[in-house]
Amino acid sequence: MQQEWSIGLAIMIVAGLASLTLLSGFACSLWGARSLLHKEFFSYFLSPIAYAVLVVFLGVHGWLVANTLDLLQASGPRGVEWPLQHWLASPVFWLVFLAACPLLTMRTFAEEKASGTLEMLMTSPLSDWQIVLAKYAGCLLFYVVLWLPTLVYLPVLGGLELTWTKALPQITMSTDPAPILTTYLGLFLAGAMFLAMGVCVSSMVRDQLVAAQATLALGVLFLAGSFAANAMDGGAGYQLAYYMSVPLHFDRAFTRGVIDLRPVTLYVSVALFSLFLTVRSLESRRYA
Amino acid sequence: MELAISCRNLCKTYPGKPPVVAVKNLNLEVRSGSCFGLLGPNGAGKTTTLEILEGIITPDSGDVQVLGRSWLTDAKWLRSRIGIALQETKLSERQTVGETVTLFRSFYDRGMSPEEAIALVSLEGKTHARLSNLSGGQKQRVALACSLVGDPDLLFLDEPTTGLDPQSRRQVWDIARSLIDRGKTILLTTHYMDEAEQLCTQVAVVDHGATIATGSPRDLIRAHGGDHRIEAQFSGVAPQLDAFLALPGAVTARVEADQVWCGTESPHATLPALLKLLEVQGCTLIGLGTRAATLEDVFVNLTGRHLREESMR
Repeated sequence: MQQEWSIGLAIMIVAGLASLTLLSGFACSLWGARSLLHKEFFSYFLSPIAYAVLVVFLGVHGWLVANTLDLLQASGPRGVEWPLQHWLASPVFWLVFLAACPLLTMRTFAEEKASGTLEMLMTSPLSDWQIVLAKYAGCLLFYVVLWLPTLVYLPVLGGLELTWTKALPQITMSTDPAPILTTYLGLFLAGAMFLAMGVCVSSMVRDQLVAAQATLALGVLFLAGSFAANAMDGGAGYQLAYYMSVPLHFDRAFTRGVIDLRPVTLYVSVALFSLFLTVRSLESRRYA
Repeated sequence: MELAISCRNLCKTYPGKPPVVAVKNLNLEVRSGSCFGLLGPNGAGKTTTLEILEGIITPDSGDVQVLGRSWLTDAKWLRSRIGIALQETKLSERQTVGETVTLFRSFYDRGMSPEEAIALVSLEGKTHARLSNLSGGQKQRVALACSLVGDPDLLFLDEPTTGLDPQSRRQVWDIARSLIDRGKTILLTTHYMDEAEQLCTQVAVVDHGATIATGSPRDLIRAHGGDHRIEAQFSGVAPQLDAFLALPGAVTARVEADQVWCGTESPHATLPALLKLLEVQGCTLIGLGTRAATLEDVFVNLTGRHLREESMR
């Protein structure tokens, strides 16, 4: 038993150190390209598509939260145990999620390739990794901005109560905060994966629309598993379908306050591999 | 003599059926602080050479040293010490001139302020203008500002005035001259021979992937074009080429149907002899002109092609 603990601890330390090295490397690269990141992020606010995504995204969320609140107030069998699970269980949510990511990433490289502005960027002292990370971080930051307004729903969904005792305010939460934290962590990581795939596809094509469609098709692979898994009852097939299905990860783990390392590994590894392919795609232009 | 660029036996072949040999055993030496012109028709290999020197593509073989370093070992350092203005530089139209130059300034550890770079290309009044509202010449000057803002030791200008009006061309020339005065090294490719003559202290003519002549414009003109050119148009049967080459003072000659071009060191001796030759041959003179020889004449003599014709194809 003691030996198993030691191995587990050693793996965690190595994984922690590797993650720390990777993150610090990314941070250093991004620092050198901070102006490009700034430009990429703020260019979303000059684009009508970004505003359209923002409006649809928040509109759908508002509707879903309203439905969830109805169930929270309902009594008997109509009640809901995990409000966040109900919120993210809707196919409408995943449809919007699936469409939003390609719309955010389609222009990153495809637009620059089509307009010819990428060449000038590639003559700068920035490395290919810095260019890719800056563009990716710009997308990711806007994705975070998409989610920020939904934080206003949390006091209601989390049962936040403000009471005054002896003229001092006291905030209490009637539900477990863990599902909220794990859900947002899961949404960030899943978004990071979908956006990395979108950036990768965008670096391989010249047409924004083609980039969006290809990213959408790739994204379907990670959503379709939920339908397949529902039709299976355990076994290796189910395990595979579960592993590939992002909605199931939220249904069975994140929205229940559980951090399942299998989907976390999937999201991080697919995101890193996509970014690696993006850099290789840029490098291939140098050796054409 | 300190060299900014040195390349020996440079080779690059693009795969295909059949493979395209773009550069074949090309040798080049560019002195620091000079403006060097790389001339050649389309397909001669000058863009490939330039891209290899800029570190954009890698050669199949050969030794390349830029500012004394190799792209294989010092790519990051080199990229921070060179400036590149591409032939058709495209920049984000949504940004202002100031934002664009500031963005490029942020990529370099050292360099001039964005305001200084903008002033260098005389666009102070357009700092807050969006690129979509600028003319072609102004956009090219913004691109120049972006390539200059890192205060590079070596500047690559790939056909910087192609497509610009005469006034904009001269503005770009003035910028290039001011950079040469500041001790910068410039490697320029151009289709305009007058541009090369105006700016370059040394030029190399490239054709079929190799350097076929190198020297100062004046020396090249002397060696390959003669000091002066005599152009005559006539009717009747043209004399043989050898007859023109045998004229006193004639260095080169070219005959096409009813026209002859003759390069000469002594136009006062060649001209009367030429007129006499045409008269003896029974030709009637239709037109006659003399002028100083240019780099274009050198190019035509060396490659048998006109640069402008090639560039228009």
